[in-house]
Amino acid sequence: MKLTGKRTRLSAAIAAVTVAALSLTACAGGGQSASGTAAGGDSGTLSAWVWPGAMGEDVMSAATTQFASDKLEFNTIGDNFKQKLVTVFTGKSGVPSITGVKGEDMPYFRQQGELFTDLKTLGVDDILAQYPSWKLAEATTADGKLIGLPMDIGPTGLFYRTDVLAQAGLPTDPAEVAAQTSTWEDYFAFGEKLKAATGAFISVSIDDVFTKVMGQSTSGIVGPNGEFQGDSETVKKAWDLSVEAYQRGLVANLVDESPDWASAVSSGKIPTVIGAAWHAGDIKGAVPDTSGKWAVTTTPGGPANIGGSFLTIPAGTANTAEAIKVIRYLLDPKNQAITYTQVGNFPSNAQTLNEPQLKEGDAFFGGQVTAPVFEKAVESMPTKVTSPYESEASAPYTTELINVATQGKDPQQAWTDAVAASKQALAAAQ
Amino acid sequence: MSLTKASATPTALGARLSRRTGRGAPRSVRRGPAWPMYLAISPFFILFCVFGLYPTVYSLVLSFQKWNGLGTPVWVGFQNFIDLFTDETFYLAIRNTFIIFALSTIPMLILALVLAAMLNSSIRYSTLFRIAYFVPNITSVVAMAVLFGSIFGQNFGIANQLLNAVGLDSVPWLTTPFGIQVTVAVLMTYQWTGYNAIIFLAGMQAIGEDIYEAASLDGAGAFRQFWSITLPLLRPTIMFVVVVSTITGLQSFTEAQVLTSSSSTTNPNSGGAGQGGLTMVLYFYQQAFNYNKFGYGAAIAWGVFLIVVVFTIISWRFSPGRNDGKATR
Repeated sequence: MKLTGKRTRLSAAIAAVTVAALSLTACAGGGQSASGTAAGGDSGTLSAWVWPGAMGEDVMSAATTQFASDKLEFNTIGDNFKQKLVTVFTGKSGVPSITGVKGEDMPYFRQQGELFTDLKTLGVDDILAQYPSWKLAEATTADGKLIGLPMDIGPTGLFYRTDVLAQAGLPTDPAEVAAQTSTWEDYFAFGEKLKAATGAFISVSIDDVFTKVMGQSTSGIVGPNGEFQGDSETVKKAWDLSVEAYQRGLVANLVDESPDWASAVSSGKIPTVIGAAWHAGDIKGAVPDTSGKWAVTTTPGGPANIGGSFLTIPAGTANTAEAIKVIRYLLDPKNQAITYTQVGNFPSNAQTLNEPQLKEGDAFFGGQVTAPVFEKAVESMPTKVTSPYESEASAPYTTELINVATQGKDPQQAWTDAVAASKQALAAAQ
Repeated sequence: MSLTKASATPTALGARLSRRTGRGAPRSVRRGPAWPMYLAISPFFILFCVFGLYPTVYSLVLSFQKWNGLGTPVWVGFQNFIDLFTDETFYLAIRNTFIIFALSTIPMLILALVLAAMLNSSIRYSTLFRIAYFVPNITSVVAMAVLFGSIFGQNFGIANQLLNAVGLDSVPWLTTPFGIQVTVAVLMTYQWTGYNAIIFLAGMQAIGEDIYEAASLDGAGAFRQFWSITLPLLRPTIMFVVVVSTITGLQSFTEAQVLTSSSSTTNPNSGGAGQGGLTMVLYFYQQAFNYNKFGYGAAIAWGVFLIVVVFTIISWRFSPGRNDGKATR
């Protein structure tokens, strides 16, 4: 590695600069290494893309057997699922015949309805009534195409550790806990008692409260016509509750789902978690050693609506008749019931609620029958059709809330900054 | 580097052939046409054009467009760049990147130099040590970042447990901006020190033994030899390492991304508390891949490129090795 002579050094510098440019683009391509197998259209194979936890393993293996003649194949794609899907759509190659679309990504894909098959043309009228109309609306494009059928919906509950609550001398029965935590104010008071007795927190981070309160409302930061409503009463209320939770010392100030979070949940330092039904799967995965010590009850301040994904058929799929059969099979009440017991995704199909599995106790939750908690939540759950720019417009609020919690920023100043930044982000995005 | 090497090959080969035949350059044709040689070197250029040149040029085109990744791109001229120059978050990302760069590169280079000097002295099992120091460089950054996330966890991390054990307070490593920057810098130092030490070592071994022998005869001790012989003769290597470290350091991404990642869908890849871990490349990634602003993302990428070019030139101009030709004359 002797670099002598001006010329060598110059070329070394040029090479180095080139490497810089290349590694930048390599980075840009980093998310694009999708390994799409069989293209949907031209071969006899049906490929289906899902992410880990999208549905029960048993459902997928049963479907593979059921549709063996179509050579149905599941690809479980972790990490950045949306990006891999975007890549194959843009590259027009390796597009799966059937693909899941996460609830939070649906507003984005809904903008590009032409990439998907209108499921209404595939004779699904007989089952549409089984799905909540507001959930179907999330997958309906501006020109009325239905591009996805819902796999699950995201009613929330309050998950809690019975052992920690008992230790703090608090009730552990779901009905009693619900009675003591029916509003956010009650929940904060409950949290103060809990903290005084055990030193535990009721929220992982300040922005966690914000997200959950926003999930309880029927309006977002971006309105139905793309207008800015980040300074509305709804948003201010979510903000004020978050700041209050922090100021009352109820927030653990950890990064959600980080190793630290898992340790805190495992050790009982965060004994309560508000999350959608599918969050049960995350908890089971993160802290398996706490099995049997959990219970779930209604969300303080009423149910929130977070997540819930779809199955879609990309426009390039030739064998749509078989593809829709696969989707119908996967969303069949029996299979949705299996998915609920295996990964916790709450069934989108109302008929699933009659399945025997939903009336069985869950050992992780100390034998509690969990489905009725979410079933009740669905009844009064707020619904809204989210803007494609919602997550971008709401990011400044979480950023500023974290500034309040970690750097002692004045909440009033933080609010002003968040509103300004959000307004600007929305304007730039549109 | 591979670029210069590859493009130098045909000339070098031709020169050698013409020397052997003792005639003018193109007479090597006697041994057959030239195309097999071009064929032999073509895989690199084909791959480079497909995976290097084309995306680079395309990203430049994209930086003048507004594109959400799926729809039709719209030409917006310099709008993305105008937005970029008025984007406070981009300036924050630049500041973060330079803080992390300074916190990691300076200790890393000093450590690497010391390590290399130690490896260069005749110690036992030196190959084992070389391998051990190099291993972090070929370990998956993501795996290391996950590990560091556990080590630097606020309540349950080993780092804080050790601090507590010696009577110090816990440090909020991953929940304050500066804590995040220090943690990212520690991770980068861990990852690159061994790599740079090996390069320094190679440079040191190219220095002739006779110079050291002469110095020993003159009565120079180990430290004096290091200061007066090793360092000056190592200047070209130091320059190379400084330039490469500038380029990699200013493009830090994975470390910050994994350490500050959150499953939260509301604020992904925002760099953690106070956005302290939001580096320039992470900001580019967030804008393009989370918020589907691929045109703006491309503009950020080219902004990063310009900054890296400027600072590479600065670090090249001011590195100690630049004037070594004059110094050793």
